[in-house]
Amino acid sequence: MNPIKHYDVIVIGGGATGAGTARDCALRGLKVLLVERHDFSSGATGRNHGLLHSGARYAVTDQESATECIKENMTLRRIASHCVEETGGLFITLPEDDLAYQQTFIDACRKAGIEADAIDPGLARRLEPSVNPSIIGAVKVPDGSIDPFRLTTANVIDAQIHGADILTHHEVTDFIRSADRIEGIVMTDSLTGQTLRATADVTVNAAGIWGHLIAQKAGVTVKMFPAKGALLVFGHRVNNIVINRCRKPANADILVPGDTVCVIGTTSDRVDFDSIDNMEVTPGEVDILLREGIKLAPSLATTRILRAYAGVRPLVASDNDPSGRSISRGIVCLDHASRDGLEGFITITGGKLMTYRLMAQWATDMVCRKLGRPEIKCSTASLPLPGSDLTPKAVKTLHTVAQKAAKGRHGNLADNIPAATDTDRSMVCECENVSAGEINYAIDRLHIQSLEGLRRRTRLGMGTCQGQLCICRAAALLEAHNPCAQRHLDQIASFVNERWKGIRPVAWGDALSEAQLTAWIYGHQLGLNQLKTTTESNEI
Amino acid sequence: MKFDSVIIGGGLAGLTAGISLAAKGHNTAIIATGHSALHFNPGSFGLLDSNIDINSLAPGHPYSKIGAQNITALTDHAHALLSDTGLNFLKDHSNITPMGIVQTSWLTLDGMLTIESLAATGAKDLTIVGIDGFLDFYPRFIASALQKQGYNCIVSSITTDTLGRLRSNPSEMRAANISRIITAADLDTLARQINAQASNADAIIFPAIIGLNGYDQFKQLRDKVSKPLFYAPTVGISVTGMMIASMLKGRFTSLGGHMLKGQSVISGTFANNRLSSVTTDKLDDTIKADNFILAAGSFFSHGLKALPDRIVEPALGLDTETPDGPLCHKDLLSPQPFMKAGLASDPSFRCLRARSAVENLYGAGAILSSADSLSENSGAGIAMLTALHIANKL
Repeated sequence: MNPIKHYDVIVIGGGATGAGTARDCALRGLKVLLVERHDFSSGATGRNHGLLHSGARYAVTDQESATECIKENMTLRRIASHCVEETGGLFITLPEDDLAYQQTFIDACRKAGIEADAIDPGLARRLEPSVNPSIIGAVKVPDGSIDPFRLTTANVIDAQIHGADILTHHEVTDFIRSADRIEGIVMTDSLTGQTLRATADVTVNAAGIWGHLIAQKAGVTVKMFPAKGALLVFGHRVNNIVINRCRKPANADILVPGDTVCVIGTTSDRVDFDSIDNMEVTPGEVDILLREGIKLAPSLATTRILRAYAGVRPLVASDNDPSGRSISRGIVCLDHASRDGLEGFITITGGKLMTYRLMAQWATDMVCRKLGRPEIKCSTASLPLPGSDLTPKAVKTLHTVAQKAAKGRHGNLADNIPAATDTDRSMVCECENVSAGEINYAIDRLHIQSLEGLRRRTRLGMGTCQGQLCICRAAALLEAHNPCAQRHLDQIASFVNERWKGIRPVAWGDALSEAQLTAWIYGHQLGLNQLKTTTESNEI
Repeated sequence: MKFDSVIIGGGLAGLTAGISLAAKGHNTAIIATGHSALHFNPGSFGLLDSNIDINSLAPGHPYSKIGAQNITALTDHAHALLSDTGLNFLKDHSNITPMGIVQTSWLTLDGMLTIESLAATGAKDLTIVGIDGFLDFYPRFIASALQKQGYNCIVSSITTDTLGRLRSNPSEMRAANISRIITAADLDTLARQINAQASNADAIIFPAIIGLNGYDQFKQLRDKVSKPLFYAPTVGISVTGMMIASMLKGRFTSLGGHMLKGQSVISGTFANNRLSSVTTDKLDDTIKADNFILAAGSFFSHGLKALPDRIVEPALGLDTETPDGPLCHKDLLSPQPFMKAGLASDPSFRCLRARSAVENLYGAGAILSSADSLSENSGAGIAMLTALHIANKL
């Protein structure tokens, strides 16, 4: 039996919230373990718009959320500059919308501290040529776009630098409890099947919608409702400025640019817990996303759709309404000692991707209070994340497109990517400019063991070919580090099917042609259709 | 312009029909965009997966329309056509894919790596030679497969000055680009480098990156290397496939055939249940012919187009057939229903237009419905056999 390690705090969940909490704890000098059942950003963190909200969207209906948003928006621009693109945003009024709403909207934004300026529709069209030419109104706001994978990775790296232990592919299967206290966790390593234990003074439930189930395991109830949101990624960055509809928030009214693509979203439908690990986008969802998206930018009608995907938001029931009909807005931070009589356990949930740092702050403040150390203060609002460091470094000339792309992905940490030899510089993913050096860096320094992990860290396979040409190249590099041909063939099949899952709901036009070529290359050219692998990807 | 026969599509089906008709003395033209699924063919052709009984195929399947009893004569004819083109194909050999999986094929180009060819050399020790910085070739996976066959394998890699210059732009290291820059002098250098690596080997395996500048080069490298050398396919675009396509085109034009390149058919004029002429996106003139063969390929080749709610044939607006039910299976590596969608045709392969067969318009190859060439491994077979079956009647 392995010796059980003791921590000040265990954080369950490797999304932005969990990673942010682990970072905050580590920066405050606490001994922390972060546990994630799959890979970082597998849940809602990896399945949203990538929108750096200005908060304008909530200004009219929820001033508190709006104010929180704009503050965090400004903070993230400082501390996560390499994850943020300062695109700006427009809230447009179409002929079918009520132009009078625009003034209500601007007033509410200003009241929340969000800069909002009405501009002439003609100017809006010149600033953003893809916008619907029939707009009758436009308001400029400080929206941006953010890469949630980079953001989460940067938090994890900083946590590690400050002494945190990180375990991915470890699922919490049970809690170690005594009477009225959570003492620690029991986890299963999904790669080896081994069972491990760890103890801590405080355990933080930061597992998103799965937090509902984690709480159940701990013996308390936090009523959450899974709310599915579907989105479409287009194969082309149609707009440079975020385009929103200037109206009461509705489905499919945000088009966000990010890197080389743009994303239209989203929808909101209650689903059952038994579908949250295997979401499929429905034809009805594709329909509404396309229809409403085309109203924002008409050229979407002829733009190739790369894939469709869905994420699940945790809607948290208000504590004072057990029926669940009233949903708590904003961040929910629960101390189960005062709420349920269970010591050593807290839940942090609700919120949005971009308020993750504030959520982490609240959770860590609560952790420190429970540890009897309330005096240690949070510094995450001022300390830049690794990759966004502002300390002057020797300026390294960037020679190649790949180096520039890597710098975009990893910030200053890209300096660590080997680029000295021809082999280092050879291109694995040509769509996203990922070199063999960057792949090997991710394997060696970022502890990646799978193709899915490489996808999250380097954007391998996320470009226009959706892995069609680059996955085998990456698999061969992985295999060289970890010889086992069969395992990598299974991984390739798994990866290809995960991409296919997102293409199936939009399987027409170019998407279908490319899928046919992919089926030929992987099924026949490589011979995988003879393998009879029934691999359902168990990574989300 | 007026021809005896016009073929729409310059892939394997189109070229096979073209060569066959030109050899019979028809004044023949092929209208081609230049793309072809052959460019992704690793140098081996499939007829029908050995697990499938040809007599169990649906009546609408191209092989059923040809008639099971006619298949053998046509396969012999196909083999002879390739042979006359200067391409020696071996029958029923077992290939090794880039990831080391073994597949048996109807025809494999001589010189490609097959289990049988390797065994015929009596080799025991093999050296698999890769190229520095070339990421579409996986020596370790191939070694793993060959070790299971009982061979001892060493993996190594080489480079040359020419290849080094290509590598300075890292996105250029694709098989097709490498093949394009190999000169006669480079071939000598490569042979020298390979020989230096292979002193202890009985046979060499090298990536199939030679041949775009001619089939001679493909053969010459094998001659210059001191041990038996076999080409192993690379992933993605295939130099071997492009070479085969190029050879077939050369054969067609040497027989007097006309290639109308870089263009696609955008409309056709029908009269009295016949296709009288077609127009393309590049020529002002209409193209008339007594007979037309539509061999424009599947979705990937744009012979078929999938709209959100239906599948269409975009050039001439002909009838299509689509299987009932969902068109996509959730496992991409399992048979996909959309593969069976395609051109509707009568038992003689005449295309249907508003449910009526067009007298002088035939469909051949991947554009046809009712065959899943991917899971059946029947793509090349359907292309060549339907093309020959139709050409024989004209």
